[in-house]
Amino acid sequence: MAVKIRLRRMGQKKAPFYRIVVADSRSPRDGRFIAEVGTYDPTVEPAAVKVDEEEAKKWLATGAQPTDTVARLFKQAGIEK
Amino acid sequence: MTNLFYLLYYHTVIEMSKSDTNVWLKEIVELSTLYDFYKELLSETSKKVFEGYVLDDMTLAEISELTGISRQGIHDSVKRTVNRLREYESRLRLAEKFNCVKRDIEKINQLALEVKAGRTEKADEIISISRDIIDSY
Repeated sequence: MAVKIRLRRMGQKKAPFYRIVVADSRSPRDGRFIAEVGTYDPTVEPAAVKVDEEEAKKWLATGAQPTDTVARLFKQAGIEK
Repeated sequence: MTNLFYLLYYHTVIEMSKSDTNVWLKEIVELSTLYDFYKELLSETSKKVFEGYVLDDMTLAEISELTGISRQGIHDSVKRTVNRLREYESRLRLAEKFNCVKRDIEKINQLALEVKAGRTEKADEIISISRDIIDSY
């Protein structure tokens, strides 16, 4: 089963905050994920992207597929495949 | 002809916004905030689909597999929900008002710290901002 890296909404109500998580592609919306590789905080200006580069690269190397959105954030954080 | 146009239009809106990830990153923030305010007005299915697409960053195909609804059906549902959320906001402006109040409260917090540090004249600004908040509601 494919492993994906996606953005997942966290944070309190009305204050969006996202985590970049590694999760099974079919994992339903129950909060389960394999690992967290970063965060995305759009409430500050400019939006803050934090990525654990080592972790991210490790997962990319094992074939985890980032969504387009996450690929974009990785690029912003200077991580290429 | 109208149908063709409709179809083309239809496909651009959501797919394009997600493929232009820069725009999409801004949009998910706006949409998830609106969702926080108005989600109780949506059906359970609409909620599930919207959460998959916007809050969990899933593709139409993935949500389709998860829910058993066709890909086109998912697409329609997301689009309908987005339109609905924007319609609610344009009528009620709950998110906009909330953001204004939030900004004012942050200002008050800041001023309170200054008062605490001895600049008591700042209390007047707190009083004036508080009045504004009540008046604007």
